[in-house]
Amino acid sequence: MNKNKEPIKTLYETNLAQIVKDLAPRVPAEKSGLTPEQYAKFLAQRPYELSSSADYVEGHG
Amino acid sequence: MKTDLSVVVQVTERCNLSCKYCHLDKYRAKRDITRATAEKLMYELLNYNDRFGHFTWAGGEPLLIDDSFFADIAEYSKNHNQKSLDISHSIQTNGVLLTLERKKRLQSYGYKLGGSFDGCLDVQEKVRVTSNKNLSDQIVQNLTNGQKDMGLITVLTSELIGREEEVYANLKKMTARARINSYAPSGSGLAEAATLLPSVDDAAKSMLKFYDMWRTDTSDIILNPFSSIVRGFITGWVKTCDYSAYSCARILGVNPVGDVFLCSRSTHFPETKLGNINETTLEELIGNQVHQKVLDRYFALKEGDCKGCEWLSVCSGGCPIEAQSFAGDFNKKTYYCEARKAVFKKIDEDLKNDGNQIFAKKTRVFQ
Repeated sequence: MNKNKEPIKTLYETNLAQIVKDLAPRVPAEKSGLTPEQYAKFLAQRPYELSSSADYVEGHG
Repeated sequence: MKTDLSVVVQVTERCNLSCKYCHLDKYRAKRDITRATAEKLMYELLNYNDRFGHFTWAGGEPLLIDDSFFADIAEYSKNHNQKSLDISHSIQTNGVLLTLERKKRLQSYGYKLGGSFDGCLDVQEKVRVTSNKNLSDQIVQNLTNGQKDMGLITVLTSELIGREEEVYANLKKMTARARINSYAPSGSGLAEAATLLPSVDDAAKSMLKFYDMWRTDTSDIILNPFSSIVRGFITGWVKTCDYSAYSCARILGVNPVGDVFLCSRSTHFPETKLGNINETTLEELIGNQVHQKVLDRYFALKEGDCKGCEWLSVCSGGCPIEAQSFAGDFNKKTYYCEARKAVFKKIDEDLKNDGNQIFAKKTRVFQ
């Protein structure tokens, strides 16, 4: 984690990037049931797929 | 690393039910959002984001607000989409006022709809406090209307322990997309913790039963959090906000007067307020010291409660608001930690042993 005197906005972005770095797939491609092309495409979506509150459609009452 | 944001907006603090587990304070003000505040919020988000703009309109009960409001704001977002973002809107309702006519009208404006159902009719009647005995039947009718086009959420309270098969069957009849949510005593729900909070052991057993039913189900029903966890095991993270510090930091809550909070469930925690959207820009609020709390928590857990835990990347220590509710401290891990670990362990084993078979049946996980 960045604990130095970076501007707060930069710190936020650095920290987000660090969290993303910590994440790693647990299931190898061959166990995913996806073709290599599908698997690669799926992983490429990673930074964007999380961003929507659309999950709330099934989420909070 | 700049990332797009989403918002969950309380369009009103009023509600026509009084659910025992409600995370809002029952002594809260009963304010409605103004069009000006809704428009300022949309303007800010549409200018901040680069790829999409998703708005969830919730409450209180959002359908206490006239449909003309929803028509207007959907139109506003289309007319102010300068960056040609992928815009979407959803409404999360308790279903009381969702007539078929109204449902069709809101869908015609482009809204996705989500509802809440307590798993079994008798539990629904017990947990949702209403003076109308026939209302629960009507709610179920409103939420389904012979279709399965709404997502549904069920809160796992002690009332449902041992009734998982019944709950699963009911959800499957009503929807193609459901979610089992943990109960976190907060707001007015705090008063019911002694009767509604399942033990961690019960929660673990219950979640494992739900997972097993979903895993062996040949239908393609989406049941979260399991669908999301399975997906997360492949991508490296679970996308729902209560399992991901990354997602949590990107989904903000907004109350009717434009106060922006870390979460729509934290609007009664003043220390989680980032600022007011009518007084500043979203750009100014993002990454400020309050917003950093979610990220700081992740790193605190990584070096503290969750140090060395192999599941941290698919859990992030759980929901910070939940931690605040249970332990009075955002930086604690979730009450449900051991229950989650049991579910992760089972899914991990299943995927390693028979991943291809499980995924082959669950193609919608990847959509």
